[in-house]
Formats: sequence, structure tokens, C-alpha cells
Amino acid sequence: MSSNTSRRRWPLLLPPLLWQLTFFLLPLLFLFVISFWSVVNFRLEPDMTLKNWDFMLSRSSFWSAYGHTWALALGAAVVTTCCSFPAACSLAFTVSERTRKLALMFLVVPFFTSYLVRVYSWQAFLADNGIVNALLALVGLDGLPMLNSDFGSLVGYVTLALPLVTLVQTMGLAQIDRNLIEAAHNLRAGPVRTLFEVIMPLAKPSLVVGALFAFILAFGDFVAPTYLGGGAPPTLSNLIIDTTKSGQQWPRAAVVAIVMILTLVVTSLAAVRLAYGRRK
Amino acid sequence: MSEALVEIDRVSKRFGDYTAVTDTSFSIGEGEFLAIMGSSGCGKTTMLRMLAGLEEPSEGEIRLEGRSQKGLPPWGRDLPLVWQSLALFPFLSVLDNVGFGLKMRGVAKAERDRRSLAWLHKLELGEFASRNVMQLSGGQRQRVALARALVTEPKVLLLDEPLSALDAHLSVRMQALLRSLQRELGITFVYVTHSQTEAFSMADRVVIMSRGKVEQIGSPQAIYRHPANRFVAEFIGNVTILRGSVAEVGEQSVRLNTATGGMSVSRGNFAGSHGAHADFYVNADQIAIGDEPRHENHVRARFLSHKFIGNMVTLFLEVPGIEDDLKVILPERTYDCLGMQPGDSVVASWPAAAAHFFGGAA
Repeated sequence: MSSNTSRRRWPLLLPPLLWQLTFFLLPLLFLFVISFWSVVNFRLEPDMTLKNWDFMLSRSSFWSAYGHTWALALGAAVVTTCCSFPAACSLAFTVSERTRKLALMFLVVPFFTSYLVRVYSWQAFLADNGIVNALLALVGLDGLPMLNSDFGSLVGYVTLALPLVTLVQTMGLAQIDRNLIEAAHNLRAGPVRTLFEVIMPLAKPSLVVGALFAFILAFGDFVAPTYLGGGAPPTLSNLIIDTTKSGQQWPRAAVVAIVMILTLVVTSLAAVRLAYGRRK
Repeated sequence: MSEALVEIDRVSKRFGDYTAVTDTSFSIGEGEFLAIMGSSGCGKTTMLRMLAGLEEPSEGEIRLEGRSQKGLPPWGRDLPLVWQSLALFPFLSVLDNVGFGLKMRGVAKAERDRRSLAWLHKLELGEFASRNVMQLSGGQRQRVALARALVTEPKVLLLDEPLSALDAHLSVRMQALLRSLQRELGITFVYVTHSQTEAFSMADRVVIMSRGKVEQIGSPQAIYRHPANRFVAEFIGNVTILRGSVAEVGEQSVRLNTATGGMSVSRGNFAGSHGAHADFYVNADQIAIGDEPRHENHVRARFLSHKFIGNMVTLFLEVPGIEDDLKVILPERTYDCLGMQPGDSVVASWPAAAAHFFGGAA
């Protein structure tokens, strides 16, 4: 694009820029400012103190929650990516374009119901006396503790991210030049080798971006860790809720939120670099 | 041509209701450069894809060295293809692109790098080995694609219009390279193209296809001089087709009555009898132009237009009673000496030996 056309196009960028400024950057700035305020008699008072930052960052409980959240989000990214990939492959390569479009449309259907409702319905499956354990008992197996565990949280995260990740992966895979796949076959690469040697490298951007979406969604989610993970050990989102509930500690919650945002920014940049990074 | 390396035996290919290739048979000799030529949709690419195993024939079978290829997946065959789009892997370096086929065969890294590099040097690409393929020019990528297909030393190389994306100058150079490579390696090339120039300048034999069928197989000279039928004649475009009724069948030639008078045509193995209607063609480069008839057959014609093709000129003449224009090919210098202007009346004449019946060439 020449500089001329980009100059002519910049007015079109104004609405999204204004939107970002008003509803993202300004609140973010406000959040940052609040993190230096104090709470006196359960009320926020403007201040310029570092004690909120000091209080949060010096606690080992904060850092263990941070590590726990990171591990869960990473797990969610890996599990969701692995669950989506076979489905995305068959949607991209084996079905007709018509079927693919229809299937992608149905992928949006889960978003018609509230995420909270979907997570609640998992409780019926995962509870100690729930459906899964009842089925296990039928075949004579011991029940498994699934609710109120990291496994429960992961189930929630996958529920949240799976449709989106499948969508991203399918679109990425469908764009692959079929000639490249046929060329691999022609050079004696069978289906499995073609998958690893040609399709995966070509699909890398969509795989990484899909995983990044899952990571971001899981990292900030409080529904799954609360209702399926049992809130203990807490994630950062659990921590924010606890902090605001107990003694109106909004400044401390702001500290947690800012650390989360910084983490996601750094992770996203790293992921984008991995996905689109310069090839040799 | 030695014995057949590839045999295509009564092969048909249907896609739903559409028939891409109909009951086609021909064989390809060892070390032969065979071009399959035709316009788009004639089935030439489908033919090539069936050879590579990317499509399975609906009927008939393809044999390589006498072994049926039926049911063999593409990755079980040894028929590398040079793609029209090149289909180089964008995520691999030039070296790794060339070595891909060797890697799939389990050749160790050091060995495949050595062999790939040897090919890159051979095609003057040695200095680009570590580059990404996207950083190369069209002609360089073309040679990478060629190296990738040849590095495994196949017996047959399939090429699907590999030069169609190159400019004319580069295309001519690549044609020379392909021809000399093929001679040097002694392997069989099956070259699909819509370009008569490419097919005729490189191939030992040309297969002309139309609507899923083979119209003619022969050397470029044979096809040029003696098109088997009306389709080939019109496709090659170097003859004018005329029609007449047989007046007299002689020893060497046949006398016909046409809309523009009596004409003599080489008899060849013509089997028609008196009164029969027959098409015949006149080779454009064997017609003389002047004020007086110089040969047995002559017509008075009006010069319409001309077009230059290299150092030859194609003239289009209007002849009363003939629907198509009479095509005449002259050397540029001869045309220049005639000093004709559009609209001029001229006499076009040709010997009986310049006119033939379809399929009747002896």
C-alpha cells in the first residue's frame, strides 16, 4: 500500500480508534491510577501510595495464584488445540465446502446460551454423584473426583474456547493450497507424514492464534474455576473477586488486574511472533 | 523409440456426469520426450494427474514398466510432477525443498543435503541453497521445482505446463534447458502444455487431445505436415481446408471439382471413388503468390491482411467461393519483394504435392 492511499484511508480508522480510546484505554488508565489509591473506612480515597503494589506482590499466595492461573491457561490452550485439530482437519479437508460452511455456522450455536448455564450443566456430569460417575459405577468402576478440581476448570475452559479455536483452525487449514498437499503425496509423503511435514507447518499461524485465544479466555475466566474448579486453589480471577468482596479493596484488585493484562500482552506478542515470525 | 515404459490402456475418467478422458490408449517409450497438447478442458491435465496417481482412472489401467498402477496411492508411485503453480513449500529453504523427496525416502540428512546441493549447482542455484523459496525470482523457482522432482532420479518426469507463468524470453531459455536435461539424463518426460511452440520445439512426439480424446499422435513434423483431421488442422492452423467432389482418380493425384474450379490433390492412400465428396488441405508454406499461376492448382484471390511471426509472414487471402480465408506463409523477404497492398488481386498457386486428404498421407 502506498503512503498516499494510507493517508486517504486514515479517517476510516477513526471510529475504532475512538472506541478503543473511550472504552479500553481510558478505563485502563483509571485502573492504573486506582492502584495507587487507598481505602479508608471501606471507601476509596485518591492517594499516591505504593502500599497496594507492595501488599500484593510481596505475598506468596499471590504468586502461587499467578502460577496456578498460568498453568491452567496453558493447559487449556494445549487441550483445546488438541481437541479442535482433528475436527478442524476433517472440516477443512474431507467435507464439501457447503457442509463446511454449515458446520462452521453450527459452531456459533453454543454462544446462543450463556456460558454460565453451560458450566452449570457440566456440574451435573462431573459431580461426585453425577452422570459420569453413575456410568462408571454401571461398569463397576470407582467414581472419580472431577468437580472442584483443576480437571473441572479445564472442562470449563475447553467449553468456552473450543468453538472459537475450531473456527480459527478450520479457516486456517481450509486456506492451505491443495497443490502443496498433493505435491507432498507426489514426493512420497503418505497421509501422516504430510500432516506433520506440510500441513502443520502451513497451519502454524492458525494453530498458535487459536491456542492464544484459548489461553486468553482461560486466563481471565472466573466462571470455570469458581463453579467447576471450586475456587481453591484460587486463580487470579478468584483473587480479584475475593479482594473486592473483602473490605472493598479495589486498589489491590487493580494491581492484580494490571499484572494480568501485562501478562496477556507479553504472551500475545510472543505468540504472534511465533506464529508469523520471519522464516529463515 | 525403444520399448514402452508407460502404457495407457483404454483409460477413461469421469467426474460425476462429466467425462474428462474417454477411452484413451497410447504408450510412452523409454527416454522419450512426449508432449500432450490441447486447449483447456481437453483432458490433458487429467491424463497427467492419473499418471501421478492423483486421480484414479474410472476405466482402463496405466502400466509402468509393465506393472499395473491400479490402486497405488500417489505416495506409492515414482512419478514426480513439476506443477504449474510449482507448489514449492513456502516454510522450507531452497535446499530443504529439493531434499523433501529424499527425506520421505528416509535418506539421511547429510546425504540428502549433498545430493540436493549437487542438483542446485547443476541448475546454477547453488548460492541460493539457504534462502527461502519466496525470495527467488520466477525462473529460479522454476529450476528449484525441477531440481526437487529430479533429485530422486526418477525414470519418468511429469510436467504440467511448467513454463506458462514465465515471460517469453525466459520460457525459451527454459525450453532449451529442459530439452538438454532430458537428453543428458535419458529419462522420459511427459510434458503437458497448451503451447504449440513449447510442444513442437521440445518433444519427440506430440499427443494432441481434444474433449477427452486423442486426435493425433506423431512427431512434430508429421503433425505439422499431415494433420490427421479437421480438428488438428485447425488447431495447428498452418493449412487451409477445402472441399470438393472427386472427378478423376489418377496414379499420383486425385482431380476434384471445387467451388473455385478443378484441383489436383496428392492421392496418398485415398480410397474414395468418382463423385464422392472429400475434404483436403493445402499447406500454407507451399503456396506461391504472384501475378501468374506458377503451379498446377491456382486461384485468383484478394489480399486481405498479414501478420508477422518471427521472420515469417502469414497472409490471409479472400477466395471467391471459399468460406475460410486462404492462408499463405511466406518468408518475410519474399513478402517484402511482392510489395502487396491490402485489396490487391493476386494469383495463389500450389502443386498437387502441397495438397493432401486427411489421414491419407502415405
